[in-house]
Amino acid sequence: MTPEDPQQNDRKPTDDEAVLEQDEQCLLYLLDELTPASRRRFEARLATDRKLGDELIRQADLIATLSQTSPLGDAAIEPPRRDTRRWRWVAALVSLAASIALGFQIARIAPPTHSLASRDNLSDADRRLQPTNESALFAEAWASSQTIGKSSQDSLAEAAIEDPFDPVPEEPSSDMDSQVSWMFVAIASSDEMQTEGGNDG
Amino acid sequence: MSESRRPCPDPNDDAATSGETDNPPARKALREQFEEVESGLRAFLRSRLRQESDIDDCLQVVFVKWVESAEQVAPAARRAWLFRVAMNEAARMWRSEASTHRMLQQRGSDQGTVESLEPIDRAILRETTEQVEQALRQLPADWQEVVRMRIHQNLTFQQIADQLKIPLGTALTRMRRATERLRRELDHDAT
Repeated sequence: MTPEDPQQNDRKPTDDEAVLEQDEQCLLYLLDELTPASRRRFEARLATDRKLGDELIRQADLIATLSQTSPLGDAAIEPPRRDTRRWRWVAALVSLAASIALGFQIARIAPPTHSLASRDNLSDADRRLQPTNESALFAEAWASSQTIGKSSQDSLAEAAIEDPFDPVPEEPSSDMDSQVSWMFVAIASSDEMQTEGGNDG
Repeated sequence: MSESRRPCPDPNDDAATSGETDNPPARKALREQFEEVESGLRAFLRSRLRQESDIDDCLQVVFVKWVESAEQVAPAARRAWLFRVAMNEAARMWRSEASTHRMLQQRGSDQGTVESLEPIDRAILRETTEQVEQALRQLPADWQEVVRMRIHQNLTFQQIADQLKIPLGTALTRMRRATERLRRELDHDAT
C-alpha cells in the first residue's frame, strides 16, 4: 500500500501543515512511495515551484548520503550497555552469594583449629606443615567441602568461575612452599575428618 | 541548440555508454529505471534551466552517469541520486554554459561516484558521510530502525509498519523526524 496523499483531504492545510506536507511529499516522492496521481501533481508543481525544487534537492542530498553510510546493525541500534549492566548485577549477586557461602564454611570449621594455644602445642614437624592462617583457612574449607558434599563444592566452583569481580588478588609466585602448603594441610585435615567420621560410624 | 526534444541516449549505443555494462538486459533495466524518473527530472530542470535543449543536454549527462554508477547506488536512493546529479549538472551548466560535447568530455574525470571523485571531493564526501553516520547514531533507536529498514533494506513504509506492528503514519513520521533531525545536525555542523 502506498501512503495516502495528504493533498487528497478537502480541508485546506495551514502554513505549518503545508510545509510539513511539502517535506513529507518530497520524502515520499524521492522514495517512490507516492501514488501515480500524486506523483504527477508533484512533478507539475516541481516545474514551476523553485522552493519545492530546493527542498527536494536538500532531501535528495540527505537520502543519497544516508545510503552511503554503513547499514546499522542491531548492536548499533540497541546500546549494548543495558545487557552489560544487567550481567554485572547478576555477577555481583553471584559473587556475594559465593562469599557468604564460603564465610559459613570457614566459620563452621575455624574455631577449634585456629586458636594460638593449639598452634603452640604443635610439634616441629607439624609447624613445618602449618601454613599461614590464610592458607589454613583455604585448606580447611577445601577439605571440609570434600566431606560435606559434592553439590556445595560444585556451586562454589561455579561461583568462583562466574565471578568476574573476585576481590582476592593473585599471590606473587615468590614462595612456592607457601603456595602449596595449604594442600598438605588440607590432605591431613581431610584424613583426620574422615577418621573421625569412621569412628563415629 | 537542438529544437526537438532529444531522448536520453540509447544504452545500446556504444558511443554513448562506452565502458559500461555489456549486458543488454542490464542496460535495458537501467534505461527503464531512468525513464521512471525522467519526467520528474525534466520538471525539476525546468525550474533551473531556461532552454529545453539545455534540459535535454543535462539529462543526457545524467543518464550516462547513471549507467556508469547505477551498480553503486542503493535501490532506495536511486531517485535521490539522480536528482542530486541533475542538480549538480544543471548548476555546472548554468555556470559555465558548457556544451553537451564539453560535458561529455569532462565526464571521464568528473563522475558522481566515490571512486571517480577528485581527492578533495572524496574527502569532503567521506567527512559528510561520517557526520551523517554519527548523527544517525544519536537518533532514538526506533527512528534509526526505520531509517535502516527504509534506506538500507529498501522496505516500503507499509512493509516497515507491518514488520514493526506500528501504524503506517508512525513509520512515516519516524522517518520524517529522523531526516529533519539529521538535516538540522548537518546544518549546525556546517555553520
